[in-house]
Amino acid sequence: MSTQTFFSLNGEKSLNPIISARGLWKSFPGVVALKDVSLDVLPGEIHAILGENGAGKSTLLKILYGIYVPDKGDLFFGGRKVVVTSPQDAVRNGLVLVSQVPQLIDSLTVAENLSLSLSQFGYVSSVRKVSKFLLEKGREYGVRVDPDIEVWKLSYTQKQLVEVLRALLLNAKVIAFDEATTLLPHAEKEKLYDFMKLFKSKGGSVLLVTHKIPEAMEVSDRITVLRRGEVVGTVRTSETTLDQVRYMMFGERLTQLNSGKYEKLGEKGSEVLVVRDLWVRSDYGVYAVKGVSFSVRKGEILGIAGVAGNGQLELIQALAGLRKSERGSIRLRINGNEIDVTNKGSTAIRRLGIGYIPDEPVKKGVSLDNSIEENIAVHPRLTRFLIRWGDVKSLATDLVREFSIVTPSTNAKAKVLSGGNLMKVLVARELTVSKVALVAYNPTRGLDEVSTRYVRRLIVSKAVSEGMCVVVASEDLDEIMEISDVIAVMNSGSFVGVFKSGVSREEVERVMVS
Amino acid sequence: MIGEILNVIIAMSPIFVFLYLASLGNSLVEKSGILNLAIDGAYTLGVALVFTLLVFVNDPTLALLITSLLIGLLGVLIAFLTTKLPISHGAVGLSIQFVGYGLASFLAYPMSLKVRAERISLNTYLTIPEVVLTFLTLSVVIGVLTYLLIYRTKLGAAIRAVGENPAGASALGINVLKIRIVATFLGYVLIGSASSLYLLLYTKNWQEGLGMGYGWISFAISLSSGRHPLVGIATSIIFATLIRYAYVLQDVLVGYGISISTFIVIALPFIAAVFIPLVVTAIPQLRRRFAPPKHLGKIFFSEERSV
Ligand SMILES: Nc1ncnc2c1ncn2[C@@H]1O[C@H](COP(=O)(O)OP(=O)(O)O)[C@@H](O)[C@H]1O
Ligand SMILES: [Mg+2]
Repeated sequence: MSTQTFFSLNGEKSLNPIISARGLWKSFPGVVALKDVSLDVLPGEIHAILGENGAGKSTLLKILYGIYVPDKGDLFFGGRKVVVTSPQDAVRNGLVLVSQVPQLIDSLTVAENLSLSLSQFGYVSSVRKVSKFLLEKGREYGVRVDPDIEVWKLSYTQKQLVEVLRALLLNAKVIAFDEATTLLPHAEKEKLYDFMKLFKSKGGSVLLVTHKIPEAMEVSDRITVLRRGEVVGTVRTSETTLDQVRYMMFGERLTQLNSGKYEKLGEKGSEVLVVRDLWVRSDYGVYAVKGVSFSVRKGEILGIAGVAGNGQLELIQALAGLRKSERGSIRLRINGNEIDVTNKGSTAIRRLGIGYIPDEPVKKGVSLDNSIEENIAVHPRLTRFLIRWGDVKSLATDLVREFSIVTPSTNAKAKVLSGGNLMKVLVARELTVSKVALVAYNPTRGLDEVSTRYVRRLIVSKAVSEGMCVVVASEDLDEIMEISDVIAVMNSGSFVGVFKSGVSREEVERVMVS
Repeated sequence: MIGEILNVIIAMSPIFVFLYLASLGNSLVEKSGILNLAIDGAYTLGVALVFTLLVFVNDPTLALLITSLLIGLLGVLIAFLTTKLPISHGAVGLSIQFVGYGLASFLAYPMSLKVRAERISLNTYLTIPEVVLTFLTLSVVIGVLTYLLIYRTKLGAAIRAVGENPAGASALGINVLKIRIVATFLGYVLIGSASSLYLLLYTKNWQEGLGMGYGWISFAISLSSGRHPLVGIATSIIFATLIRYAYVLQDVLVGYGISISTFIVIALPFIAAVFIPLVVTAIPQLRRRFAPPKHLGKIFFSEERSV
């Protein structure tokens, strides 16, 4: 029926794409997110879409899924030209989206959520009926979740599973994952990969959107690379190499990735941050940090490793003045003066020149409805009573250039930025104000490779050249290994091992899980 | 004794009915995320409409049905304006409120002159136990049905979903506009019947400004019951008691040597309308349980990113 055959290889039967996009354009105020993008998804393939933050991956998926309407271009599902204006249209055509931020309603139960998607249940049908149906189907597909539990009580992985179950119940021919695996712990990630392969073996297709090259290389059959809204190319995974894909993804910027190791200072200065017997409670009122003591010297980077949820977050928050310390002390030694900052509040602490990078920028670090300039001006070290807009503007302009933040202008609202660019705004602001110390939790989570390198290098070089002391906790052990001078492993609220840099990864992992 | 209790119930029932039904309507509307600032205008307009219709059809039930339907359509308009256009719910609600006030006088005032001039006797409901208790029962049944609708059916889940997180609901496959239209239509039908019953069962006649303020009281009832249909029964009883027995309270207080001005007595339900929701929201446990839908009153852009 189709006259065009986009994919035909010697001997193989030519396949007609299930989904095919032709010449898609989409712009938002100030950015062209997609420029003439075409894509084919073949039956029974895992097709990765790879690109840096802000490359336009999510925009492409949202167009396929009917959330955005393209400015120009055509969509074909099963060879038929279609206009997709809502997710229902997409679902009818066999495409279901699983996004990084689970699109579930927190206050509703799993059954209530899924009932909204299942057209076989009429509007007056009872939720109990849906709930029974889910139990049955969940058993059948091997996806076990309690249908009557409210979604906010689920873990991130469980929410993803609910989304996968939803896709299966909707008889998806293509399941699209928008960075849905990026934040998962390794074991869970494997489970999802296995599921993808199983789904593929049954004739389904998977669109796997990611900014992590290894992820794309590991499971996909083909990879389409997007750069700044344009398709750089589509390659077969088995016929390409990591370097080739990296070149496609970053182009000339690749050199920035390969410019050598971090420069480290041999000698450290005097102690700047001294923490003694610190006890901090978690949100549930139990002790999450149990009598931790340490000190960090001028120019030194203390990396805190550990499996998530062992008190790292609470410790970091206490240091930033965002959580009460029940016992113990936090002291700073600045220019020979000793300042007790225990429970002094974050405004005071940050005026002293302590930077803080939280891991969920959208919730904890920036205000989406304000501009980049306003998000910079709000910092207590930069502004006391009056905002000097001229200074703020030139600082913002510098930071946007220095961090290559993709934005229409420094006046743009933060919500128009992609997740990675938002994180960059936050990191840029905090590094600017950190004169004495920097406290960070997963500082590069959600950043692409180039930005990640950039941020890590900046942290190290500020430590070296300006003598800033750093405490960074990260779930990414590689990050800790890469930048720390001293590595402390946190387990059940205590430091269970302290190592000098150069320790083997195995050694650290061993104490992490013991 | 039993007779006395029955008398109290019969005296309070009409008030309960015209407050409770409107508060139910408000809860339905707001559960879907639409800030219902038009309620008082709609209420006042409903009172005027039922009066006007009554003059023509002279059948209370028919007048009630048509009024409910028309006010229901007004609800549809509100849902459309607040969901489809990027204008604030406040602006839409308050302008419709004032249009409602104006239209009410415009329609009913000439009718009231006509009624007086031609000495038309209006065929309203009789305040006899059989009739009053029927409406009381009906309104409680409607309350229970509304509860089941909101918390036990897919439609209810959809209504709550578009109120909490319309972008998420739409990603799940819900047409936000459609669901909001259904919710506000049902809600405004209830507001329309409540305002009709205010005239048909309680005042029996119309004068300038009649009904004004009762929309707000119903709004307050809905708010201080966390928009929960069953909790609303208790809150409505409190307000009905205040309205019915404020004068009794005044007498009682005089007996203790305390005299309060009649103006305050009249204002008492309105003071309570401000005060009770404040108290409710000040109690942390209640505040969490009675929290408004997360997206209540916010403009929904279908292309806005949900990072
Ligand atoms: N709703 C929106 N409004 C304005 N700009 C947007 C919106 N969605 C995406 N963008 C912009 O479009 C570009 C591509 O974004 P996105 O598709 O989210 O990138 P990716 O998913 O590849 O990280 C970015 O510059 C982003 O800021
Ligand atoms: Mg994205």
